[in-house]
Amino acid sequence: MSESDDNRLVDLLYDELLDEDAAAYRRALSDDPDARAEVEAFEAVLRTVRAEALHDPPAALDARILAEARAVAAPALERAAARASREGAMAGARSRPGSPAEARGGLGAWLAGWLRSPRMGLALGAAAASVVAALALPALLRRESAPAGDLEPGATVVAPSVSPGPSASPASLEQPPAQAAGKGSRDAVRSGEALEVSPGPAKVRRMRDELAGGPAPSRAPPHTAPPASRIVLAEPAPAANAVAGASATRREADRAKRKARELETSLGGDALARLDADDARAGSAASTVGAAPPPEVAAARAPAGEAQKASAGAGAVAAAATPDPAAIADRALGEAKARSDAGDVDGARRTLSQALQPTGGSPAQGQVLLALARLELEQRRYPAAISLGKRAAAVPDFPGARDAIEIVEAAARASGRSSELGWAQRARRSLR
Amino acid sequence: MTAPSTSTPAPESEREGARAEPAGPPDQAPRTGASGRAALDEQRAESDRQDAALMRAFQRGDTRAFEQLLAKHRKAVFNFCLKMLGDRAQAEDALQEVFLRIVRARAEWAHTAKVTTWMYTIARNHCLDGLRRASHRKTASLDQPFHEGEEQGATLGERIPDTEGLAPDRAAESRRLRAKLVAAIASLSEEQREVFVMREYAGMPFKEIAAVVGVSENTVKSRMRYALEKLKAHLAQAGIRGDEV
Repeated sequence: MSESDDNRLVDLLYDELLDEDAAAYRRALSDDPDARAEVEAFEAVLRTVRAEALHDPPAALDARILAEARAVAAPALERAAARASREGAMAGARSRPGSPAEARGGLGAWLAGWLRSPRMGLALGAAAASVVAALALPALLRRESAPAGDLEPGATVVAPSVSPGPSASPASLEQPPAQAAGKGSRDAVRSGEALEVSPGPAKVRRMRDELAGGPAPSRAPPHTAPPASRIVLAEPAPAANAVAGASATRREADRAKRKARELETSLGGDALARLDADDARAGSAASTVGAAPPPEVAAARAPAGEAQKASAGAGAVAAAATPDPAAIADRALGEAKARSDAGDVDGARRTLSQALQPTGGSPAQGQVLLALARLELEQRRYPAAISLGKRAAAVPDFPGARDAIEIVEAAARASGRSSELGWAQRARRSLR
Repeated sequence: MTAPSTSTPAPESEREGARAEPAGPPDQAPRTGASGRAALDEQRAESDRQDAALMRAFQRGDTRAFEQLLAKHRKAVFNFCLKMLGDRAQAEDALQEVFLRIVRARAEWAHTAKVTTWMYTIARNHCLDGLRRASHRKTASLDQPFHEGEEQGATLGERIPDTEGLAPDRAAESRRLRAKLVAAIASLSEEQREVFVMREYAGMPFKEIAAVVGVSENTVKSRMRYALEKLKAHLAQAGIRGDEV
């Protein structure tokens, strides 16, 4: 049979011949029993095939696909609006007078955005360190003969008025204080790696010690946990943190840096810096549960040796006030959703982060981790989404483990991380 | 028969309607005639326009448009993947992957292309990749345990679902037929199977199948002819005649 015969036969079977051609074909078939039998056999095959109903895919698949679609394809306009709203809220919270130009998103908004850029954050942080050094050194020089402890901790912290840049906090932990104080901001920005903390001049060392813990002992002190209010005062300034961090030994500082990096990964980029800034604005962070930084954050922000104490302290405060993990998770999820809907993604992230510790070890923590992972996925912070998703999937008895794996998978695909993709697929298979 | 002649596949409801109406022998087959075909073509053109409008809306960020696209095509794409891959779990993964690729690559869709052509190109490529990855394995036997090493597990034939609502004897018979049919379709070459499945399970016209597969329409029809020939032989060997159903 030629190709054209094949085509005519298929056209006949699928009713794609013109009416007159089909009629002619059938007339020909009536004269050829073999050909007719063949056509009938084919039509019988098609009847068999068509007798089978189409299968329905599981409805749960739709939910997963749609969740991904919503996460990935959030309208650009909405995102822009949310960003504008968030920036407006941040500007308001920093007590900066909002100019009409900024409200309109004009030159003021551009300038504000530029000032808030990570690079500028680093530069401002370094500049703040220089300011601290410049202000503190003369005072220290004057106090050469004065009794130790005259310098009030709060008085030295000029930096709360300096708004930290988005990435100031993690960077400040890496910024060698001596370098930050002794070099210009450009040099400080250039130095990506933390250098060995070498003993500086005696005056600088004394200033550093005072910032870290009050009256200067003769040597750099082992880290004593400062009062909570002191942590709050010291935290907002990245430079102050850097100077305080310098009183740590190299090993302790490294530990703090590692912790900060972990948190940066799990909470996403500049989350720490924002948490720092927000907590500082709250004034007395440790006085209420709501304002208390999450224990992990507190641990990372505290100078290295204080990490454990800070973590234990914040955890204790949170645990004392919030006994029911499920209720905490529900409240946090509700609040986070409201914040997210209002465009305050950082607020949503902060709310959820604060719920992690008090829900620890329960399936409710899985919910919180899942929500955080989803948030990070929406923000295209894929490493953070992967890390949080994996943590959520690992929570014992967490019924949303499959969703968590989906998020890991989506983030892994989006970021091209084949190893994480492999993990997700293995995890999904193990769930089956 | 109410199979489409040109343009895009019909909406799922139409396709199901077409499938629910079995074709008769040549001289008794329900004919749509020229006017019927023209009406169908117009419906399909409208369906194409709808798809394009939904896709454009989705490109602008309207996720509800994507939801509608998904609702409209999920079943057909799933059945295409199911028949291509021969495994429900893999078909579920494939369905998810196809639509996720659409989500991620939405910006790449050109307004001049048919959404369904693009969609099935993605689905076909995904299925072929899956088949090639698994090419070291033999074609699954319907009587072998579904998972290797499972002595007691359900067989592939038993895993073929959807016999709810049938009387037990009818359900058993339906399962038997389905199992044979799955095996028959699995026996087709990839080239024949994709053409057959796109036409029969996704309701795509030959012209569009040709665009997806990247060959001429005549070649598509020729592959279809051979696919039918092979299915006929396979089903006859299995003792199934068309008048059984």
